[in-house]
Amino acid sequence: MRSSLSTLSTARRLAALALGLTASFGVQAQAGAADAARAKLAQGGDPVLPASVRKAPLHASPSGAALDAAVEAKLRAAFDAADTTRSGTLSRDQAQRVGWGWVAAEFERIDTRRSGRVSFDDIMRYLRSRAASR
Amino acid sequence: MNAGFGIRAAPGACVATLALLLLACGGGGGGTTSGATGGNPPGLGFADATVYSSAADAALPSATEGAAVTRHTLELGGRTIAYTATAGHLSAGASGSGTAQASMFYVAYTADAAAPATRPLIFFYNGGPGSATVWLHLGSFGPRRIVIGAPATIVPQPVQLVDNAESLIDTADLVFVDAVGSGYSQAIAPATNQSFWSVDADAGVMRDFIRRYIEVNQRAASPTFLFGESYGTTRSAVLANLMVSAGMRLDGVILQSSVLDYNSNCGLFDPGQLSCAGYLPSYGLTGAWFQLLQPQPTDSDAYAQQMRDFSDQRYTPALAAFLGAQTPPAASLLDELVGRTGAPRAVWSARFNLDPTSYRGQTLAAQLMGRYDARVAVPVTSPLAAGGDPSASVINAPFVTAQRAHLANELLYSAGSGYTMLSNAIASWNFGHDGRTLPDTIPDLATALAQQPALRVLSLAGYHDLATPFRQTELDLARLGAAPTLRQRVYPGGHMIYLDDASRPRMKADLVAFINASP
Repeated sequence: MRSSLSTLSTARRLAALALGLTASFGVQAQAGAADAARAKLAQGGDPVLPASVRKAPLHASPSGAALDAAVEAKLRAAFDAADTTRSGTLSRDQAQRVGWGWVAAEFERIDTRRSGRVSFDDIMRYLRSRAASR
Repeated sequence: MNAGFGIRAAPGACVATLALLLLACGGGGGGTTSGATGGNPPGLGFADATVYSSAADAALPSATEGAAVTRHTLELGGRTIAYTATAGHLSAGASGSGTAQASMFYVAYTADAAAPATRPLIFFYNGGPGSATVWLHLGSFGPRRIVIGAPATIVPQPVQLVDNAESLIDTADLVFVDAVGSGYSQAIAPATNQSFWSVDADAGVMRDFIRRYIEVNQRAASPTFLFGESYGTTRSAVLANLMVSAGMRLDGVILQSSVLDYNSNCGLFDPGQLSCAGYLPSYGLTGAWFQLLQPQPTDSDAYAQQMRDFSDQRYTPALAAFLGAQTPPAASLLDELVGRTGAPRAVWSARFNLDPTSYRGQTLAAQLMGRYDARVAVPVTSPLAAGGDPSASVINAPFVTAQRAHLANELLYSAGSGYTMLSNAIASWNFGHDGRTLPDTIPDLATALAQQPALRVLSLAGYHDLATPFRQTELDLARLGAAPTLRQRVYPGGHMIYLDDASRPRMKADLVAFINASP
């Protein structure tokens, strides 16, 4: 018998009526009764959504090949943001300058042609070859 | 709270001004060391005159990087650990030639004797969004811990802060940081707090804080870990990808009580929009706790596995048919659900897609179970039930009290305003991410792992958490496919698993093994 399944203590069966607790220590919640109630809860009920997005359209969460495509899309967005001149390639300095330090650090391994510039396809080829070798 | 100074200067004196707290009074059987021991100087307090605001449009005109620095000792595992606590601000964005964008409040605990350059470093944050990082700070693995004893409905009064036998300070240095608009963290003009109230900007400013902390403290060679809870796991997945992409060192991500995909957790939505199958195993473990099951299981872990299998093989297909084609469930399946969860037959008949709010309110006669910790049940007429979650109501005020006293009397930090436990950030938070209305951060985690396959991930979940149910977390993480660096643990306990005195030592052991594992 594990302790987690042990019998209930008497204390738990009793109502805890003695605690008239208030928590006004800098709690900021000005937007109505629901927020006021939330502010009295630890962590504000995290996770919780405001009513405005509680009926938001839900999407099919990707896995498998669809997740691979989502990863590629994120990397693509990063590449396009870094490639400010729309040249289709990045130099190591360029990658470093825009904050994509990972590309700069892996540059030699991505740039197999030793051209000094890497394309998005080069990056994906490197990731796939590394994944396949693991 | 400017009255705290001088307390540490008189070691051994029992301070009466904060009668609610047993600090430095020697009353805790050896567990109340608060710092002025071992011949260390008491440290330097810091009276920060700045008034901090959590308002959406608030901005500091400028910021300085001041901190209170105090020295303490802790008895842990038979040895004495001397450590330094640093409580103050660093400016996110100010690294290198950058511009300061937000003044981030943090409390860092660093062991004095250890070689700091290579000692592991863990960054902790709670979620909300809008919550200060007080729950992890004073409840989990810091050197000082509030006595809660979950799932008790009464917290010992006066509130007690004790030396934490499960602190990770013997293994790593610990940094607890507040998100912008919470605690004492605030945007710096021209940015406002609202500038950082989105999934992406929030993670970005946290990355910039971590970069600044590592730069100022010369910790670039330290194995670095993230420890987020709840919305903090959403932040961690996005942040992990930002850090890996930036080329920053990141060794591991610890996810506690996860909400990695807002689109998969039915409890966040109005009932009926989404399958609640991810909650079913948690109902089973909760019914077992209250001894409502037929037959009554004897082993939590074994029963959890039975419930995973039952849910996958029997309930989930029937629920899909019910939600998709209104196919009514078989009577035998309803009977089995009653026996496996403890919710009455009438409840299962009326709500085959049983949502957590209905389970919590309709399983025990005239009682409401907690959302954060379903084991905390009170009569529906109890004041603790009024906010909708008795387990959250029980602990809120004690944490407020403890944080106020810890800052003033032990960390010797004060500001010109109160500490914001919870901002109203959620009301105007931009949950959009990668083109979706609500964040799905599994692609972020997958992208971080694609760039850095050695990145380690540890998921921690509580059997009795009806906010972020353990099975849903497992199903979300299963989307990663083969993930050789992923470890998952589930413990008896609620959303804040560490408040359970039996689970916290088990968590610590698993965390130490995770942190010390070879990269």
